[in-house]
Order: sequence, then C-alpha cells, then structure tokens
Amino acid sequence: MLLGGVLALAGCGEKVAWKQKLTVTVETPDGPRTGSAVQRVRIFDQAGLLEPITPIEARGVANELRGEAVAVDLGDGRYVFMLIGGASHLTQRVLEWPEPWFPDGARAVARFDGTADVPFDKAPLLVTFTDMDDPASVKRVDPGSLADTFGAGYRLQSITLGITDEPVTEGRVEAVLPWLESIGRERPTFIPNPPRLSTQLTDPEIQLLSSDSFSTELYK
Amino acid sequence: MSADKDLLLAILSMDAYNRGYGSGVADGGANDPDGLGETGQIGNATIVPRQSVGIGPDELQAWQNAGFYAVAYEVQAGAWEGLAEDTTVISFRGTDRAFGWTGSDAWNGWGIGAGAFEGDQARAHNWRRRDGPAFSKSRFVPRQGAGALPRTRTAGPRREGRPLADHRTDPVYGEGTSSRARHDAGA
Repeated sequence: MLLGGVLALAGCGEKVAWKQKLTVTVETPDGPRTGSAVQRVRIFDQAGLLEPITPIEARGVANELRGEAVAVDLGDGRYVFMLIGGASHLTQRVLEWPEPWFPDGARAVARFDGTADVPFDKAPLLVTFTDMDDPASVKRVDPGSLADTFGAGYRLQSITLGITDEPVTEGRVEAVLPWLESIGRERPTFIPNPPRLSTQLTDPEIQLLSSDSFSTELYK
Repeated sequence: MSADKDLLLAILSMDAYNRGYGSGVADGGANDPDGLGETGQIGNATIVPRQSVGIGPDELQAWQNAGFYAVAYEVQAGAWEGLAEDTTVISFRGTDRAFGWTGSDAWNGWGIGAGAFEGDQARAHNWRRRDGPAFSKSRFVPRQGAGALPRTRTAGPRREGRPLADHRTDPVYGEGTSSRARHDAGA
C-alpha cells in the first residue's frame, strides 16, 4: 500500500501530451503521392512530487513516443518511409515555443493549431527497400534528391507536422512490411552482422537499423 | 602515459545514464531519443553497438519494460592502468525513472537490492549473444541506482540465455556492489 502511494505521488508530476500528424508528399511521374502517420508524444517530469527523495539520475524530464513511421506508396511496389527516430523532438525543431521547454514550451506545442513545414534537413531519416521482401536491401534516401534513388520525376515535395485529435495510426507500415515483427526477433539489424565497434560503422543509421525504427508497438 | 582504470570506470558507469531510452540528456540532434546516442567514443573507450552483440529490438523493449539498460565499450590496450588488453566494459543501469507503474526502479529494481532476485531488472540484465562476436574479456561496471544483481539469470521467454562466467564483489566499489566478468565464448 505504501509503495502504491509512492507511485501514485510520482505520477502527479507535470505531464504534457499531444498527437502529431506527419505527412510526407512526393512528386512522382504519375502525380503526387502522400503518406501520413499520427504519433503520440508524451513529455513528463519523471520524479513528480517525489523529487526531493528521488535520486538525481532519476530526475528530469523524459519523453516518450508511440506510433509508427510514415509510409508513402510511390507506385510500382516502391515505398519511401520516414522513420520514427527523432520524431518525438520534431516539434522542438520545427515550432516556436516559449522558454523553458518544460512545461511552458511543451504546453504551447500541445496547443499549436495549424500545420508547419518540416525542413528536410530536420526531418527523420528516409529509407526505402530495393526489394520489399528483403530487409537487408534497405537504403538511405536523400530527401534533397529522390531521383537518385527512384529515378527522374521523383521529388520530395513537402513534409508537414500538425497537432491533431486523430487517433494514433497503427498497422499501416506492417501492412506494407509484413515481416517487420518477425525479423526483429530473428536478428538485431536488418543488414546482418554489423561491425563490432561503432567506429567501424560507415553508415550507422542504416547498418544498425531495425524494426523499432518503424513502429513502437511491435514488441509491447 | 596511462591513467588509472578507476577513473575510466567511474566515467563509464555514469555514461550509461546518458544513452539509450530514458536517457538523462539530449543532444539536440537525431540521437535525441537515445540521449547521446549508442555509437561513438568516450575518450578511447569505443561503444560496442548492442546490435553487434545480438541485442535486438524485442529484447530492448524487454529491457525498457523492466527499467534496465546497458551499454558496452571496448577500451584500447595500455591506455588505462589496470585494464588488460582488449577489455570490454559493460556499464548498466536501472532506468532514469525511479517511480511509476511501468519500467521504474521502484517497481522493478529496488526489490533486487533486498534479495528478490526474480525482479524484472535482474532478469533483463542477462546480456546474451546470438550471432554477434564474443566479448574477449568483459567487466560490468556497477550501476549507481539499484542494488547488486544475482549471479545468473535467463532473461526473456524466447531465447536461450547464456549465464555469466564469474561474479565477484568489486574491490574498487566495495562490498555490496556487483562486478561481473565474462570471458570468451567458452565461458
């Protein structure tokens, strides 16, 4: 009972949450193609009312993201994905907010009404698969030059972020990549056998890529 | 000139709090969800990506559910007095979240310090290999939060666990702390 009371007190700290809708639009020779995902971000004070008795390392503000990557169907069985890594901090990079970030800035973000353009250099990683059935065929996509990957006529038109009341999307990416959950149980990275030391990695984001960059819900 | 190993171990024991999920810092870049990220170096201690030793996303989720996190470093030979050549240091922690209903130290870890070795953080600590290369020599740095961990555990229901080879009290950090050494694949 005492522990339950302590945990309840800890849960009384500041917390701010919102749902963000990310939309990616790509120009293709057959016209624009759009994909979107709704993700939930939660920012919270870890110690809550128990900060005076909480170890220093356990204090502070944490963030959690729930949701999935954005998948854009480019036609002909080709897709581009915008991953979830970095998405929980995207509002901080894109929107203006008052200091301090927590709780004032986070509250301002949660109240944001509208849609903001996400500069391509601040967007999460874009990837594709040259063979949609082969996780090891994952390739980085340069947001400034989709033509390098997909050919002439392909261009990233926009990435937008909005705060929404829509439900968190689930299953869209898994519908496109049905092996997503099983491959994460089978091996730790899409591309097998990464180098042992991180200094030996030539492209860490790709070489260490795995299912958890596509959805937070696979192994809950 | 080489420095004493205790300084390095102290630094690395705290560095685990700044990496991985629930880290205590953010770097403002793409690594934000992982704090300072899970690649790179601290001085001449190079991070060994968890993926390269077989820790996949499902196991990372199990760690997170238990409020456990670990990161490994390989230290250059001769740079630190008292550390043998090609030593791998493994620094582990409870979560940065002391309280809460899920993934917190209070719920998953503190009982271990009182002897409840079946706690989730104890079960999650078992750093297992699948297809990754073996550690040649490794040493766990005691975490700063919850208490000592048990001798061996098999973590998670899906895979075979590999017990650690040795468990001893660390003379540097004193009685009641935990230091582990696991030797090569034959261990």
